[in-house]
Amino acid sequence: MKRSRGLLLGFLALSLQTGCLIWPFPTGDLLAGRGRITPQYVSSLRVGASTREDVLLHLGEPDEVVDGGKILVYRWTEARGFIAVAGSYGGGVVAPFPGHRALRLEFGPDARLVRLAFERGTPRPPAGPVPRGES
Amino acid sequence: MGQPLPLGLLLGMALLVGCTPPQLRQAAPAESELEWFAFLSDGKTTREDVLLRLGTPSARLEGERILTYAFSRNAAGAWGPVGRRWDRALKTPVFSDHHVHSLVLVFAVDGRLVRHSLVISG
Repeated sequence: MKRSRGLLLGFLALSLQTGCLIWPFPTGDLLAGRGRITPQYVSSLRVGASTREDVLLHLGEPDEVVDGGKILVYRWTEARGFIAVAGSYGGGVVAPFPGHRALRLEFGPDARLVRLAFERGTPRPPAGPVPRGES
Repeated sequence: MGQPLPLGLLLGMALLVGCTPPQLRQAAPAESELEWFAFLSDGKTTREDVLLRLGTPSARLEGERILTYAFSRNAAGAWGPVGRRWDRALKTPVFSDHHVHSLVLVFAVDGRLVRHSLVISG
């Protein structure tokens, strides 16, 4: 808490300095991942009815496969804003604030979807990459 | 007062604002007719055909029942397999290209293709 408050104060102090701009609004830039997944796009997937096969056909290759396919995770990172600092002689640096997003889908023993949830923030501990071999 | 931001920097920021990030969507029929995928036919194409034509899949799920291939265009505009790079923030390998075509192929027990789709980002 103290750290985040200090960080905020630091940003505010920087904003008052020469040639510095903080843009605290999403810019729409994709920093990592294949693309944003919208709730509208997954609205056709039904808990209790859609299968793992349906999900894969609709969303493509997942970024994480957990427990042999019991959980599939799709991740992407969007720019939530940026800080721009201008130096002398016209030079400058722009650094984005990353906003991590994920869609987690869990399946039952019959391969039917039992849970679908969007997540925000820092990802959970790594679950391992998509296996090149059998998952 | 402070030094004004350079015009180029301001212009760059203005261009950033209002951009829409790529979103996942199903490929339109015309987009699915790329030369690489034209041979795919549900009920006819076999897993062997696919492996011979497209090579090693980028992922296999439910054994060999579901195969996926990830493609993207290179700088010359040619299609090719796309790899993944480790993303320190996400703590997972992510595709090294944002504009990835993900081909998903579902096979029956006899090895014939029963369903397939192309999911693209853009």
